Amino acid sequence: MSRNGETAMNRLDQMKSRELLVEERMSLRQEDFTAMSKYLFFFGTWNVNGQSPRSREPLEPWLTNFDGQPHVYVVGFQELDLDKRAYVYEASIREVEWLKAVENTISKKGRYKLARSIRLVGMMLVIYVLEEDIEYVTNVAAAAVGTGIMGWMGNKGAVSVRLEFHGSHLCFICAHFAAHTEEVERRNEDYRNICERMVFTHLEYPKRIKEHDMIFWVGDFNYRIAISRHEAHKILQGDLPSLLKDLADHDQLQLQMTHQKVFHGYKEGKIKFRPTYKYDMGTDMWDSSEKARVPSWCDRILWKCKDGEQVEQLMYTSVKDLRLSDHKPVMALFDVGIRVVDKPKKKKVYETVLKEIDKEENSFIPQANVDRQDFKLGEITFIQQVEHTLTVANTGQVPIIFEFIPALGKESYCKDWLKITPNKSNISQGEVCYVELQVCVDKKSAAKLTTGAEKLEDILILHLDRGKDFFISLQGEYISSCFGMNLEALAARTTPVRPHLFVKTEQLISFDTPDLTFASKVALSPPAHIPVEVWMLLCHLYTSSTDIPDLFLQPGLPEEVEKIRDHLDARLPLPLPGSGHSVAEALLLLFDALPEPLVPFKLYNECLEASASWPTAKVVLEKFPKTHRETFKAFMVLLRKLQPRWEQHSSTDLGTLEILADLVLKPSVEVNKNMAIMGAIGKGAMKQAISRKKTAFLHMFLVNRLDDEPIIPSSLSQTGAATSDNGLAALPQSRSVVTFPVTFTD
Amino acid sequence: MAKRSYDLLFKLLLIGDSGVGKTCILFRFSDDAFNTTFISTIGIDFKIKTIELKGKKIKLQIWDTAGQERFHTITTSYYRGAMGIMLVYDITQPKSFDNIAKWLRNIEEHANEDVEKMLLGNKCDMEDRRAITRERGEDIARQHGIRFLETSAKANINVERAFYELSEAILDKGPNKDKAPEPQSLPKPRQELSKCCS
Ligand SMILES: Nc1nc2c(ncn2[C@@H]2O[C@H](COP(=O)(O)OP(=O)(O)O)[C@@H](O)[C@H]2O)c(=O)[nH]1
Ligand SMILES: [Mg+2]
Repeated sequence: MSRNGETAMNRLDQMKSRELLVEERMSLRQEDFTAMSKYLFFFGTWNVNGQSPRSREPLEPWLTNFDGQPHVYVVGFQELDLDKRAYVYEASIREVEWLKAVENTISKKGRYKLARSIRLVGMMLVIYVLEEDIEYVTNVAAAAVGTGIMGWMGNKGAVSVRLEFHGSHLCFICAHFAAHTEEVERRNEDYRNICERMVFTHLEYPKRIKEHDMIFWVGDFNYRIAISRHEAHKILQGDLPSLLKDLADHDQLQLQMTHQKVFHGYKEGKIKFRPTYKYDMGTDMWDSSEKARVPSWCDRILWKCKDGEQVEQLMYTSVKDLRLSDHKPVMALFDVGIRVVDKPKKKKVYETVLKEIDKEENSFIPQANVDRQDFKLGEITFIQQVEHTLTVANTGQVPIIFEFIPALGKESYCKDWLKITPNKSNISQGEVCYVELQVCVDKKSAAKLTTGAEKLEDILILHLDRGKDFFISLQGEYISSCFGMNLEALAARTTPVRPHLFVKTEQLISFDTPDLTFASKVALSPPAHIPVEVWMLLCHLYTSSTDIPDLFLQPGLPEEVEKIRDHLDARLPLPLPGSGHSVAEALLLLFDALPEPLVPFKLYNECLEASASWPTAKVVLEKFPKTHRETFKAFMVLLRKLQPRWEQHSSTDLGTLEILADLVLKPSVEVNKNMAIMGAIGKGAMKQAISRKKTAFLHMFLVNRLDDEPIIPSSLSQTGAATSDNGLAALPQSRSVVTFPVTFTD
Repeated sequence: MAKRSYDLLFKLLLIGDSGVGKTCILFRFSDDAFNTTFISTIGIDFKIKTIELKGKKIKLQIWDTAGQERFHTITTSYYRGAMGIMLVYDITQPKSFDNIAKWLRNIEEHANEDVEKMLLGNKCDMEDRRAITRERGEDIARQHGIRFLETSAKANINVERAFYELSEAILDKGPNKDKAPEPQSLPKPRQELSKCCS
């Protein structure tokens, strides 16, 4: 099943259980919208021993000879049909005969409608309701359980009908348990079996016997009086009151009930009638057959109701005058308290219950608070780290799971310059989670922020699983740095990228001095087309870092790199602050952050192809834009100077060059994507080949010299020595640091 | 015979300028209460409420959105899947009324085509500060062929009626009538999710 289908199913289940919850709450409040009203109920049971009703033996003594008009008739039969074919065939003539007989008889009391009848082999239960009451009978359902031969056949067991009368839930069971005196345990077992297996499935929500306000059992339960026939007959000689008392002491059913072996929680009215079994048919004589059964109260009527229900038995007796069976019929009259619904009141309660449940459901929606929804980041420049903390508190009544999710159409839940830890977590009730928001603009986003194509702002969506979403705004201002700037733009600048920075620093005072070293002046006024900042880095490394081992391999210190950044952005005089490693890293960082790498994207492939031929390489270089070409050349001059140092550790030689080559020669995003489509194996081999070509390309510029290479001053303290054909020594006017807030007296 | 009363789930959305009273309207409907302190909704929140309509029990899941301009691109992604939208303005704030056209365009662009709409002129308890006549509200609603009511979350005027009418309009529309309950998919602004729920 699809994921979606599953959710739909869960949803349905949830709604169903909600429906059950409504029902449960309604039944708890029943008294608020119902009034208890007494209704007369008739209950009867008769084991007819397979006989048909007889016209000369009318049923009035059993069904109608009492005062009052029952609203409901509940009549049970056993051994309705002893024909073995009744095991197999659905239809039974007896069923029709007896229904007719009952109907005819009770019509003398009023107009009754059959609410339901059910038969299983010989057991039949019929429910008649006064015509005027029938509309208040709802959700009628019947079920049957066989406990007979093989444990399931219908020669023994029970049939049952449940219904709602007004607001009361009633269940009626007509049962026939196992016979024979010694089978007490079997009878108990039949009872348990019926209770367990009887399910009214034809309802929206299946119900069992016990799920009713009032339950009535009628039937031939077959419990006997456990004494000898001789003794029984002696007792039966006596007068009725003493006879009843003496026999009751030996009644298996009462004994079993006292020991809670059966009919737990049920009541029975006091028995004031002679045993109903076993008579010689057609007489009032005790069984005279060979078997000579001990007279017993096989046929009984029991009931059980929930607390608060009102059931009162008015009459409980057997009917001596009906003689067609070896059993006498039994009947009982009850005043049953029925909850009559007050419709307007019920509607009110119903609405209240719905409201209540809505309220609970709302209170179980995950809830949280965040301490801030608006973060002002202030001014931030390249690789400057800024951290903020967002506190997410679980203020609801359930554990929550939160997650930052991407807005529609976005791939990522936050911008490149932001890192969120954790971006997903769960929080127990009453607990909080601290979420770190780390802002740092690096090469990934510097270019876009520098050009203004993007702003330093983001709206995060903090999503609570199955709950609300928070929007968290972040807003700052990106202060452009030389890092992340386009090489051309940088070369064209006549002013420092961040002059104001310089004004702010203390160095202003110490810098207020005219005697800049010559090298500094040179460094600050590079050959044409080379950006000042790149030139400063190259000069610094060229003059003071040639002896540093593992240059470009060992990382610098972040704080130092930041100082170098500021120094470059303000175009302060050399030397640069920090170690050689930090300066080298700054140079790599600057190249890495270029929107268009040192080798322009469109020449990338040509460079790779030219990696084996110096003349071709020279031709390709000529195609570079000026700024890129001159900068590239100057970079090569620096690398050539540094190379001897690498050669002492020949193992790292190519290693260093390989790293640098990767920074200088970058494929465009599309080329990269195409690579990503290739299989892993091919990709690995391909990568290696490309890497070799890249390194070879650079290597050629180290072993061969161009005619017009820029000359980098070899010492910062050197004075006046550095001259070149492009007039480096003379301080250029236009490209000098004219905006320095200090006077530059030469 | 059995009463199937857990029939339907309707997803409704409240939109409109910030401060017009969306959150208060929802609070009035769900909790029958009113709060004068204004805490701007910054995000998306929802409440559920069950109502009975034409013998059917309908569970409403009502989403309240942030009204601020800067969140518009994000909030519009929650429109999908909404079966009804309440567009609210404040009768004392002409600006919120002027923005109706813009909100309607948003609905046009981002909501399901067959979404039921309703225009609410809220805070009608403040007759002394009224800036938009009822007629103007009715006119614009008529022009766009949508239902209209003036409401007050504070004085509890027409709030319940508004939700019932909108729900009824959804119920009366053919396809929903015998539809099984929809999965309660939150309108996550994720593409893949909105796809799978469409
Ligand atoms: N007088 C009056 N004030 C209201 C009414 N509804 C909301 N308010 C007030 O308007 C302000 C904004 O309400 P809110 O529901 O938060 O607006 P939202 O931004 O649209 O969610 C709050 O100060 C409310 O107390 C109303 O019907 N009458
Ligand atoms: Mg709000």
